[in-house]
Amino acid sequence: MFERFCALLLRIYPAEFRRAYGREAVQLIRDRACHERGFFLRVRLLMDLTIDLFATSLHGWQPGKPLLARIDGAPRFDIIEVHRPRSEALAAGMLTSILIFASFTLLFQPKALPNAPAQLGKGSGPGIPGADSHDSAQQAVATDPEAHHKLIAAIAANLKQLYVDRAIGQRLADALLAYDKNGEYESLDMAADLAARINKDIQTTSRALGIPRGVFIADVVYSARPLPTGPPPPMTAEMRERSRAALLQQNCLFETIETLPHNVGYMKLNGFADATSCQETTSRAMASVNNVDALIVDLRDNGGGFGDTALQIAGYLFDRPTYLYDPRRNSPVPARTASPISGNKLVDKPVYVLTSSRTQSAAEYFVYNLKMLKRATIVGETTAGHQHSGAFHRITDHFGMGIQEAAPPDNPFPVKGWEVIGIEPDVKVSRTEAFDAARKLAESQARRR
Amino acid sequence: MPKQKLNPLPAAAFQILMSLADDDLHGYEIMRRVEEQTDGRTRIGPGTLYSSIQALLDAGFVAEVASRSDEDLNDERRRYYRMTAAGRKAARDEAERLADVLRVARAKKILRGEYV
Repeated sequence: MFERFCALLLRIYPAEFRRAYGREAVQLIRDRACHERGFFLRVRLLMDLTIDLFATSLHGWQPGKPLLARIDGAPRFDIIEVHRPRSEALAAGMLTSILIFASFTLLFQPKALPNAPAQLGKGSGPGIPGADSHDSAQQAVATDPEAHHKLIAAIAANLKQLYVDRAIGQRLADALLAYDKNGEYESLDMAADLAARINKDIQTTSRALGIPRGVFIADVVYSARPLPTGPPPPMTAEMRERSRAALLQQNCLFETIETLPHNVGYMKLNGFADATSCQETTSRAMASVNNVDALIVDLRDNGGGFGDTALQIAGYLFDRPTYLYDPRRNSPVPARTASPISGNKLVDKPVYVLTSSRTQSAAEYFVYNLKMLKRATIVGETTAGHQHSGAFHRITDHFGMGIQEAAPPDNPFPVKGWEVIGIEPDVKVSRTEAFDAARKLAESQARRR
Repeated sequence: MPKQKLNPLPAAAFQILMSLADDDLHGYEIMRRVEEQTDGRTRIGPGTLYSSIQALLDAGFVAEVASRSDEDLNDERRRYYRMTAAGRKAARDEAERLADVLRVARAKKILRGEYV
């Protein structure tokens, strides 16, 4: 559906532009729509496209050099086209695009799809017999109607057999099979769009069944690269040592630790490294900001990692053992922080956490809990919305799915998770504006102290 | 229809070249990189982006590459662009031209300080 919207809008651009870059332009608009959610960002996207359309139409589109080979002495014919649309067509098109985008920005909230699967540890669920040999091309499953049906049937079988609540799994499976029977997946030419639509249907059906927003149910993943057929081989002692050395060389993913003016601490952490290798580095990092009057933790480029390091950092922010919600049943991460920590002075200091649409998984675990506990002000963009709390099952070379197979622990907080919906910031600004916004807030708090 | 001139480099073309200084990027990544390097002040739309890229391709300042050098970052659905040696020289010339403008602005006391 989204592609149709874009295709319609792009008809207003000069024809040669569409021929040369139409597909890329659709992809670009789709990428922006995926990452720029919320009313303000959607309006901004609409305005940007309107201005761009004006600029492109006014300045014209200059096609590239002809690629036809010249043959000496042979006659040659080129086609000359009118580059600019008629003014009345332009005016009508502008009005139509504004109306379409106004409705689109309000109604459409797509989910950004990861290129790689959430977890690759398991792969025992029902797959499609013989499908692997047919889908080496990235779109093969999506473009073949028969493969469509087989894919939906395999997803439905997984839901029915593996989802934690068998009755709900059955109803989710029935819903997907009914959509498929009605031909609602047939028009989806792109594999990624098919996965997105199935996920949307799983979400919609689960809401109707009374499952709260934010709870992980299942997530169909499309990967352009072939998915692994099994779990990775266990690490040898030598591999572990190499990994540890590499992490230490990267300062355990602490990109920046510094004290800004007005005694504001700033810490940019691009991943939560394994605590078995990085516990000491994390302790030293926290000790280096122990005397600040306010702390900014920058997780804008943090794609997750190990929850135990997130728990270790959170431990410095509380004066008593504090429960952090982890959506995984039997999680290896302890449920409570190790607070209080001897000599720590951060428990009563204001904390600001910077987020972006790339902040996900263990980073979202950290953000979610600090927000629910009202211990930090979240500044930036809504996070990605990937809990990664299910078991992953490979279906074909390019499709797999995560499923919630075990009941998640009881959640004492009012928002029951962050799957799909992400974590809404307290101060909503773009990722590029987040640092300045948090710094102003932190300086203001630090001055008061 | 006027052909887009690249001497001096238009602002969008210059920003695109700078975005490609370190990595091969596809269209959306170029747009995001330009937004970051201008502190959010410039967001290039699809028409402006691809008309600038086309002009840069015609001038030999960028080249389309089949895939990135880092295969882990590849997405087969995308077109990736790489700055050529000629593009790097054009970007350097433009940066030096802007530096000259800055020197004049400082000499005329329009702009103060060592950094902008």
